[in-house]
Amino acid sequence: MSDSQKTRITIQAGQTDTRYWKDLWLYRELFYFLSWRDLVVRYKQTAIGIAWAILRPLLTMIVFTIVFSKFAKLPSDGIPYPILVLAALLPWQFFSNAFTEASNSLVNDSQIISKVYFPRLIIPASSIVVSFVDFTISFLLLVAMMIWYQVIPDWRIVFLPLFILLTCFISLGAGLWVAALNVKYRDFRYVVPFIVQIGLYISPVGYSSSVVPDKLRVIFSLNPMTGIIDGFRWSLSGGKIYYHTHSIVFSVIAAILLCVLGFYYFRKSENTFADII
Amino acid sequence: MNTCISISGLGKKYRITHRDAVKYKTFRDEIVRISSNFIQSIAKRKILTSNIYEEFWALKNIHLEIKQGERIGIIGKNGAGKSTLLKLLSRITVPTTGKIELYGHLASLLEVGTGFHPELTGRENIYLNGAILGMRRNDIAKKFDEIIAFAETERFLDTPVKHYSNGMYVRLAFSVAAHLEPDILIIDEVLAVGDAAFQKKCLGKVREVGNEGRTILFVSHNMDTIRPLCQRGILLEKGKLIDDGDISSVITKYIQSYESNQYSIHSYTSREGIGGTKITDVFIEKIQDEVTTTSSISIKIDALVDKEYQNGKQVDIGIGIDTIDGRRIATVVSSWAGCSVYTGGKLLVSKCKIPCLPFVPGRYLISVSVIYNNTMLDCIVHCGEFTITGNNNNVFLTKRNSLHGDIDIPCQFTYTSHSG
Repeated sequence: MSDSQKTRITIQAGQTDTRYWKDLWLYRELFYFLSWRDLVVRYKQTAIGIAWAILRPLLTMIVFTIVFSKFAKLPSDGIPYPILVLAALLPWQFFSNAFTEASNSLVNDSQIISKVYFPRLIIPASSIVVSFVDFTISFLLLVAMMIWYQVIPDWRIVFLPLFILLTCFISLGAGLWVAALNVKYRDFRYVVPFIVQIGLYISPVGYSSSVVPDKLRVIFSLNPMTGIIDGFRWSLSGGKIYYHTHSIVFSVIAAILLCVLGFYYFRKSENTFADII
Repeated sequence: MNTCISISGLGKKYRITHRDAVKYKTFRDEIVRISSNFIQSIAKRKILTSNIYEEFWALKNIHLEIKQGERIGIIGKNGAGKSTLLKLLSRITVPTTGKIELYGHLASLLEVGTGFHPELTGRENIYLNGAILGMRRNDIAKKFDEIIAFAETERFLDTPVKHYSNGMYVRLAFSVAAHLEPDILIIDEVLAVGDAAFQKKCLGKVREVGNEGRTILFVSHNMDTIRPLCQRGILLEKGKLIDDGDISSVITKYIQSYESNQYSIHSYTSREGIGGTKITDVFIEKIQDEVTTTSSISIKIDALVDKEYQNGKQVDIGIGIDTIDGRRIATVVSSWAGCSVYTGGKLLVSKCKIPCLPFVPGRYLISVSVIYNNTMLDCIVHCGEFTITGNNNNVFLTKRNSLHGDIDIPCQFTYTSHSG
């Protein structure tokens, strides 16, 4: 009761909430609980549980290696093809899961949104965390594969966290934006799987960027995931994979742009979520 | 005493969309409409011009001052703005005009078990729900034993709540909320769930919270629960505050304004049936202000008849009475009651008198229909309602529960005792 005397909230029409950041801090535990809920629920009533986080990239890697290496005979740039695929698959699956989950997160939690107040930012942000946990588990597979194929990274590995962070920001920015749009226009429920599906082909996941003709390279690099995937391969393979600097510039610009726009649009429309969801 | 909530000039405007303002009968028409709209929208650079928007003030110009420790009952019909007011206070939605000032920590209970996940266990849900309602993990851990003791679900703590019975679920959910300890507590009709014994326990808890000096705002349609719980009442009608004062006087005013009225449903669009007649007005006429099981009501139905049905067709007038959770408890039809209704012109006015209402106290909804040759011409579901107040309320609040049925049959007991 003692600290209650200090709490004073003013809600005024047409005024932005100045307490937003304070509230975000107050509700930090909810952020943890929502992430935890999604993680626990995700593998409930499954026979092999968390092993799915390993199995999905493993099976995709096997299929991609067979199709692109054995059938299509694409070059592997001096590292084993499974490593080439897996090093790309990890950031790609992290992005596609995080983006998809974040976009649907608000609509999936509409029940809570229309009944309780808390900073809505917590919902899409916590779904990024869930995808990150999956990413971490899948990463163990990559470590095991690299030991198996005896691919030893050098000093360039220190840049890996940077690329991971970049993926986080791109997923968060795009996720926030689309999550807010999804509340108003459910069309995005159909747009997101389409983006993810097309993205898998236009990003160098199953193949190396070196097979892309020079003429198309700039257009190819406009996809922010290209720079990230190439960066992953570059830092893990000890520089064996050639790295195009302009593609990482595009990735950084895209990450900043998406975060700014996504956050701006989210905050702008956040107040009306409960009315239209 | 200190002011706890101060509301000035509060208003909330919604935009309602009428998509079916024009009826499109076939899929082809729909395609034509969409494509013509699309062309228009490109020309006008405007999206979604096909929708006709109507502005609607759910709340308008509300001024209110609430002191710390007051227990306030908010009363009003459906759509009077009660829920909107609660949503604005709990910051779920933002006001269009005006200002609210809150002093102290506010918690709202607009629904029992918000965010409960069926796959999670009782223990996990207590933590999740607590966090959603704004509790700290430490606070939840401290209160944990109290919460499960109140909910009486210790044995099922590690069972997923999807296996819980409805009663257990509600008990656990309410129990978490009951241990929130906010300065201001907002409760919306949540006590209408659960069995009578638990309801009584919940009411006791709410009263206890009120006695600790917390401010409580309480919305319920059940006057029998509001009356003993609140001191002050606020009556809303069509988004405006029309009465504010002592709870008994506000309830009396509400019952008078509300319960002897006419439902004008001329412009209703959510009708069932093939058309041919159109029900325009439904009157529920009462002899006294308060309806009890022994009072009689009359339901008068006005309908417009289309030309093709005007030449002496035999139609049926049907009235259905449902409980508030949608269970049908009685249906009356004119021909079953031995009255043949014939059309004969543009207007059809019928009246049905029901001499007694042997239902347990509560709210009841009325649906009306016009039937011809076993085909529904017009039907409006839940267009009116009435509330039955108990003759001896205490029995219904404390002893009676849903297992005892919806019907209150008049009865007289006699007995003799012998010693051999």
